[in-house]
Amino acid sequence: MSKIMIVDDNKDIAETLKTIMEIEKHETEVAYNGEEFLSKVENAKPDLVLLDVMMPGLKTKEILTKLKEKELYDLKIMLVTVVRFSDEEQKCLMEIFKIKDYVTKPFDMPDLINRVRKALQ
Amino acid sequence: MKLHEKTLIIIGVTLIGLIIVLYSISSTIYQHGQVSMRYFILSLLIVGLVFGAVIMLLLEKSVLSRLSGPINTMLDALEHSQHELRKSEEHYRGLVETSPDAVMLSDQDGRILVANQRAVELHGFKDIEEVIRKNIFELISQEDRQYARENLKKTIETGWIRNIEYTMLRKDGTRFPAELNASLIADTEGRSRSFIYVVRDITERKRAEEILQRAHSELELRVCERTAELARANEILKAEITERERAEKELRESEERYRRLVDFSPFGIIIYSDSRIIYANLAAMKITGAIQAEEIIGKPILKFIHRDYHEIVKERIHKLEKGEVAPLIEEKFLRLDGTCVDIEITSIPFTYKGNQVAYGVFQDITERKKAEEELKRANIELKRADQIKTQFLSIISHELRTPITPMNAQLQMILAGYFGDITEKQMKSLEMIQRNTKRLDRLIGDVLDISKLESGIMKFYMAKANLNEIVESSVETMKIQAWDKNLKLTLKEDKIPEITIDRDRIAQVIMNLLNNAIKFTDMGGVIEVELSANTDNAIVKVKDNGIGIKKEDQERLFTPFQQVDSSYTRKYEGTGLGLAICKRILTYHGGKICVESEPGKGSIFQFTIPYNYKIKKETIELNLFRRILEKEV
Repeated sequence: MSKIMIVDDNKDIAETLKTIMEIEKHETEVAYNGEEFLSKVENAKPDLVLLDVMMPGLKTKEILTKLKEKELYDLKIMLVTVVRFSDEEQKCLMEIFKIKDYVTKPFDMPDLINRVRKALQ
Repeated sequence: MKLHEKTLIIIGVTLIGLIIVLYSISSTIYQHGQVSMRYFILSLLIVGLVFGAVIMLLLEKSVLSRLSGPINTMLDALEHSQHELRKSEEHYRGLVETSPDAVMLSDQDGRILVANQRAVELHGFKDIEEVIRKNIFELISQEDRQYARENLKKTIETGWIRNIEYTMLRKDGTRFPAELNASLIADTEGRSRSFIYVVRDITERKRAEEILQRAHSELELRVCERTAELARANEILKAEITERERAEKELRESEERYRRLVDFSPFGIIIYSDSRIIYANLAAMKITGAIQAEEIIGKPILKFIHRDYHEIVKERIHKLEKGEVAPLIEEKFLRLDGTCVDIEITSIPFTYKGNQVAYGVFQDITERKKAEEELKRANIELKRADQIKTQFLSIISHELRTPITPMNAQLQMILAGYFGDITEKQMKSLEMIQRNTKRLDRLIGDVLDISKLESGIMKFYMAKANLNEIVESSVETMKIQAWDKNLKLTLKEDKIPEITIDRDRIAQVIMNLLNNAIKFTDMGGVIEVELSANTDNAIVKVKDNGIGIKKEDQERLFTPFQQVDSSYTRKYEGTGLGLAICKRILTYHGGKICVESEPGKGSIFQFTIPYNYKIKKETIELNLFRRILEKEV
């Protein structure tokens, strides 16, 4: 049972993810854009963040950079993205921004659950 | 005693004396060709006798007493002549004895009667005794004897022979070359003959002759050689001269050619020395706008350079003087009318008639610069277009997939029972919705893929991959679908080496082919997958015994938006994009795809990927965000 933070500008997706995580018996919190996320993250202290990319407002890059500044070392991030990355890109993401994994939209529910479980370990 | 008795006694004594003299003279050697002494004495004798008789008669008269004086004088004269004769004889003997040559006298048969000391020495005898009575022919070598006999005959005929060479013999048998002169002495009636021989040893002479001959031969040889050498040298010289003439002619022609090359070269060529132009070809004049040579020649080069470049040019001239070549650079020239022209020039130093000069080769690049500008602009525009496209596609991709995400996820949850039980009918309905949602997702995927591929903005992630695993995994995934249609799905694979590919995209290709195979094969059919490799390529085959493809349709198979037959697509729910996408993916990998098919019999789809194709590699920049954002933004 962990705390999962969900960041997505699309309400339906956010709610869907929330539902799935709750089925998995996780605590959840939602933010609908980057600013909101950054303001909430320190207090929320989530174990994992499901972060959407291509949101309006703060770009993903900025969000991640600002996040790093907060030095929340235990924070794990999973990107929810439309495109896939190459192995090297993934490695880079992991090294620089501590992004544990990513899942592509539309995701397959069992696949998402698996990845979340792995990421939380 | 009476006077006539006195006279008789005197005459008698004189006679006896004369006879003695006669005989003594006869044993002396006469000089060659002289009148016989004997005759002289004989005539004297007769004169004496006659005179004696006259005296006797005159003695009877008293005249005789008067003649005694003259008679005494005559007798004195006679005695004097005798004395002279003896002296002369001695002289002759002396001459003969001291002669350096051998002198011999022989009888008509050749028997030697008289010989001088030299003759003895020459032939190696001890004394005259040994020589006398030898035959002259014995002293001549065997081989020359016949010749000698012939010469003897000649001597008899002509009276003498001169300078005949024989090989003569010594007492001990040794031989020596000799020269012989002979004369014949015959009496008045020609009865008894003697021969006088003078023999000279010519060994030395012969040797000298030989040496001379040899020297002469050598000299001749040398002369010959020298002449030959000279002749040869002459030939060579002639050839050289011809060659030189030819070379000169060629040089002149070559110079002419080069001159024309330079004069008419499309490049402007100028030669300058001490910053002044000393030569300009036609193109140079054209570029600078000069009509006559005087407008350029002699003028300082800086006159034709745009002010902005003066420093650079001065610097360059300085370098050229040091012997450095100035590389190609762009400059601005000034025409005579003041307008600018962009040029590209390279300058090379060289020595001309002892002076350090430089020549510059340049061309008008105004056109080129314009073209370059345009190209740059076009390039920028292209890049922008690409950017826009990519951006657009990213946004579309995101926008299209966003609604599908919750649709799919919620359906999954419902069907999994997380929201409570559902009825059979509900399940069927929801499954239908889910199927179509998935299909929609696939459609979107295909459309996005083909758009990216067609516009060249698709990004491939190339890495070494194990194709065996990919094929196995794909087959595994499709097993369920195959099973649903009761199709037998087999895999035959060779272990093949790693290959550099975009793993996901190749998997996409394999999945596509498998999907098609399953789709177009009726229940109970067979699908065989094969993986192999040869030295150049990895080879994947998907074989089915489905409905097959008509020949005319096979051509359009890999073209996007060309449906094989709209009836097909309707029945089999394809987009018509799958194979087009496969082909493009494979083309990017340097590979090929093809099909063999017969309607009713089935189809074999085969693709190959080369191991060594040099593909533009995307360089993964560590500045990853830019790339992420390029994809997303």
